[in-house]
Parts: sequence; structure tokens; C-alpha cells
Amino acid sequence: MFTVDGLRKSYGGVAALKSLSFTLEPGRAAALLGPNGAGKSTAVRILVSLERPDGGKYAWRDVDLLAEPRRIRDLIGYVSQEIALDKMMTGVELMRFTAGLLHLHWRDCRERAYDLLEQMGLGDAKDRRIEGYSGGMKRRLDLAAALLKRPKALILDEPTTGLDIEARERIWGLIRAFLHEGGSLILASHDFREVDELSDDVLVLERGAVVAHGPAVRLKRDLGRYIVRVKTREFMSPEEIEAVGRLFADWADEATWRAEEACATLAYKGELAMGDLHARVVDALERGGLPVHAVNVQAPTLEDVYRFALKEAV
Amino acid sequence: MSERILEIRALAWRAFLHTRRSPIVVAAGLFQPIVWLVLFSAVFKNSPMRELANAESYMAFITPGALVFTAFTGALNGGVPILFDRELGFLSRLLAAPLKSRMSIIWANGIHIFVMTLLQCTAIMVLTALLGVRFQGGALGLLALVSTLALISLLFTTLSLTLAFMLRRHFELISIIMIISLPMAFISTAFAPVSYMPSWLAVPVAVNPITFAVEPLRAVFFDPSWRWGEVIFEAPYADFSMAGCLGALALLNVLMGLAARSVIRKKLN
Repeated sequence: MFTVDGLRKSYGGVAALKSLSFTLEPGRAAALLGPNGAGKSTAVRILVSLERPDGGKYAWRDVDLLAEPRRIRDLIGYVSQEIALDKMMTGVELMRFTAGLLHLHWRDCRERAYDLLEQMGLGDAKDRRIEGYSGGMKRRLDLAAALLKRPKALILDEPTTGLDIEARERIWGLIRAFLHEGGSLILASHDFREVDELSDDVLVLERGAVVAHGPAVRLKRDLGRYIVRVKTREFMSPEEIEAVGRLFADWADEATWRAEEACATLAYKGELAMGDLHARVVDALERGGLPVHAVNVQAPTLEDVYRFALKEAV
Repeated sequence: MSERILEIRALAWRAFLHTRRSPIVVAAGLFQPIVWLVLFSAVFKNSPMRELANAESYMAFITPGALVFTAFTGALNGGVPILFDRELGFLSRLLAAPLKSRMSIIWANGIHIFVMTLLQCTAIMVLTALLGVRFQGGALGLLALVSTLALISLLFTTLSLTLAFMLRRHFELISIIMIISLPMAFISTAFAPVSYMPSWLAVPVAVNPITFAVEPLRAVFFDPSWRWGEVIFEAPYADFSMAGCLGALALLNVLMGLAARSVIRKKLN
């Protein structure tokens, strides 16, 4: 089990990561979710030993990984956000080079390397130069290299950025197989669907601080039964959104609201069924003298959790 | 095989793979010294400079300089791939690998540069031999030649790799290389003996490491009876024998190594 406890890091007096804590069991996945500059990359760089934290603990079983950063690199396979492959190599050559860095003799790991390339769908392209690979092929090759030494955990930073849905789902399948075999995953991503698909635990980061943490299912349940998006016209002004918000101020016991870009959003925790809630919202708008353009009621998504967590952080 | 050797071998293998895939880089490395040999020897064909070094021709006279310059420029360019690796994110990949020592990155680059230097210098020696420049130093002279090239190569490889870890972008290093390479070559005895130069130039020439590499090579090239203790270079502040020149280069390497170690370790760890 990996234990992260109170990791923090500042650059020139500015806190990039305030206190990151979580545990990760074998076969489980934790996701770091947050806007640009929230501290995800700092967290990832610390977790893969590219940065030293200012404080906190990071351990695998009883091993203090901050005292032995080489153990981190032994235990973890890392795929960075940038596709950092040597384009002059072929797929097989990259695997062979990686084997050397991992202190594996090529004769001992060649079979596994070829197997991984096949699993990644790169069997036919393995002897081609990487410069001719598509974005998805490069990502899969990067993942294959990260898996070569059978790591205890994978740390993936935006692993499917810029890929089409087919390529993303293929990579998700490979990650699920890794989890199924007992590996652990730490995923930094902007992609709500990716996080929802792959993660057990979600940590929402904002300005270096964890503003929401827990299993995705629980975070969604805690947010409310329903999310209601209200529009009084197609493109609402901030003042109009505020007016809707004031209308729902009386609902504070059972709902919280936040202003979104072009609508007011309500996270509803009460007991009403979907249809009844819709009717009540419409009724409230009419009583308040506001036009009803659209009232959309749906189950909370991870994106809603994220947006409301950021609102509370602000 | 130890883990350290496995990782150095992998890193050096990558560097050689790049060279194999981009032979034009090797050819470009050979092009400049060969142009110098051909053009300079034509321009200064009737120069009396060669007589001051017992060389049979001006081409023979500048052959040691061309060899040193090949080693020097190859070494000075050694840091460029590190900066490209950093800019492309590949250095992070290396640093996130469980290397026994991150200094393996430096050793692998050094090995690659030295081997390529030896190959390029061998090509130049074969070419100049075909053009009539005879190496007269014998087997021990060849050892002295390789040692000198190793020392000058190591010195400027260390400098280049240190700069690569201090700078942020490859064009910064390339600019520095462009600024220092020509003056370093001309403020040395590569093209003319120090007695042929104005007095104000004698001191900078006599502290330039290139001079301390050219003079031993010139001695072993043209003097079949060269000896380790015989004075081969009279600097304004001291006389240097073959052993003295190599000792000075070794000392510069130690000093450069100490300065580089703290910089590189700080950046790598």
C-alpha cells in the first residue's frame, strides 16, 4: 500500500502544494483532478521523485520513499503528460533502451517487451521509427515501456490528452487490465470521464489544496440527489444568474447553488423526485417573476462535484 | 553485469544509435577540419612556419591542430543533446528511471563523444597520411596522442555538459559554442607557432588548453626521438615538456571536474 501524508511544496514562497494525503491499496486507482496550476503536476513530480517536497511523508509499505527516492523509481512506472519518446528509435529499440535503464538484461525481458507491444496493438509497428507513429501509438508505446518492469504502481499524467475516443478507450482497457492484476494507479487528469472510468478515489485540487476527496460515487452522492441547471434565457448575464441564485437562497437547507458561465446551477439534497423537483423549480421562478427558458434536472456527475468543490474553495 | 554498467551501456547505446541514424552529423564534424587542412595548407603553402616545428609541409604542421580541433568541437557540442532531451521532456524520463547513479548520463555521453572523436581523428590521420603526412612518434607516440585527445575531449565534454545543465535552451549553448570555438582555435598554436605571433597574443596562447594539446601532438607527429621530459613548449611564464603539457591538461580536467560536479549533481539530484 502506498501512503501519502501531508506532502507540501512551495516555490519562492508560493505554495504549489499545501497538504496532499491519501492511501492507495493494490488494485485501486486515485485521481488528481484540478484546473491548470492547481498543483497536480507538482504532486506528480514529487510522487515520481522528480521534485523533493518541503515536508510530509510518502511510503510504500514500511519503506520511506522520500529517504530512498531510487525505490520510488523502482516501484513506479511513469507516463508523463508530454509524449517524451526518442523519435529516432523504433518501438522495439525504445523497449530495449528502457530495459537497460531498468537494469534488465534484454535477453531476459525481450519476450515480455514483445508481448506488451502486441497487447498495445503495436506488433506490426514495432520495428518502425517512432517518428512515424500516431499520437495514440506513442501513448501506448509509452505505457508499454512503463509496464516493462511490472511496476507496483503507474503514475499517469494526462495519459489520453489529444487522443480520439477509440485510442482513449483502448488505453483505458489496458489500464484496467493493469489494475485487475493488482497494480495501483495514480492518475492526474482534466478529463472527467477518464477519471470516472478509471478511479476509485478522487482528489480535487485547487490552488495547491485538496478541496474534495473520496470515492467518486460518494462525492457525487454527497453533492446531492440532483443537479438542476436553470436558464431564464439562452445567454444569461451575471446579474440574471445572481437573481436566480437569490431566489434559491431560501433552499439553503436542501440545496446549494453556483453561478456557471450561462446558467445558475443547483445541487439538490432534498427528498423530491425528479419530476416534482422540476415542477418546484419552475414554480419558484414564476413566483419570483423570472422567465423560464430551460430547467434541466439530472443526476450529479464528477464534473458537478468538481465545479461545486472549486466554488466552495473560492 | 553491474547495474551501473547496464545503465551506462543503455545510455551510450542510444547516443551511438543517434549517430548511426544521422551520419551527416559525423560527416559535418569531419568537414571543417578537412576544409581547414585543404584550404589553410594551400593558402600558407610557402609559409616558413612549418620550419619552426620540423614539419614537412604546412598541411603536416596543422594536422595536429586539426585533430585537436576535431576533438574540441566534438566535445563542445556534447551538451547539446542533453538540452534537446530537456526541452523535449526526455530528460525527465531518464531522471524518473531507477538509475543507480544519475551521473551515468554524463559518463555515457563522455564515452560516446570520446569514441566518436577517436573515429574522426583516425579518419583525418588516414586522410593526411594519404596526402603525405607521416606520423613519426611510434607506438608510444600513438599512446601519447590518444591520451592527449582523451584529456582535451574530457575537458571540453565536461564544460559542455556543465553548461547544458546550467542553461535552459539548446540555442543558448550553441551560441556559446559559436562564440568560443573560433577564438579558442586561433588563440592557440594550432595554426602558427607562438614565436610567429605578436607578443600580446603570447600569454593567452600559453594559457589556452588547446595549445597544451596541440604541442604534444606536434612533438609526437614530427619528432621520432621525442621524450616525455623534453621541453616542447616555451610559454612566457614556464617551459613545458610532454609530461608537463599532459599534466597541465590533467590538472585542468580535475579543476573542471570539481566545478562541474557540484553543478551537475545539484541539477540532477
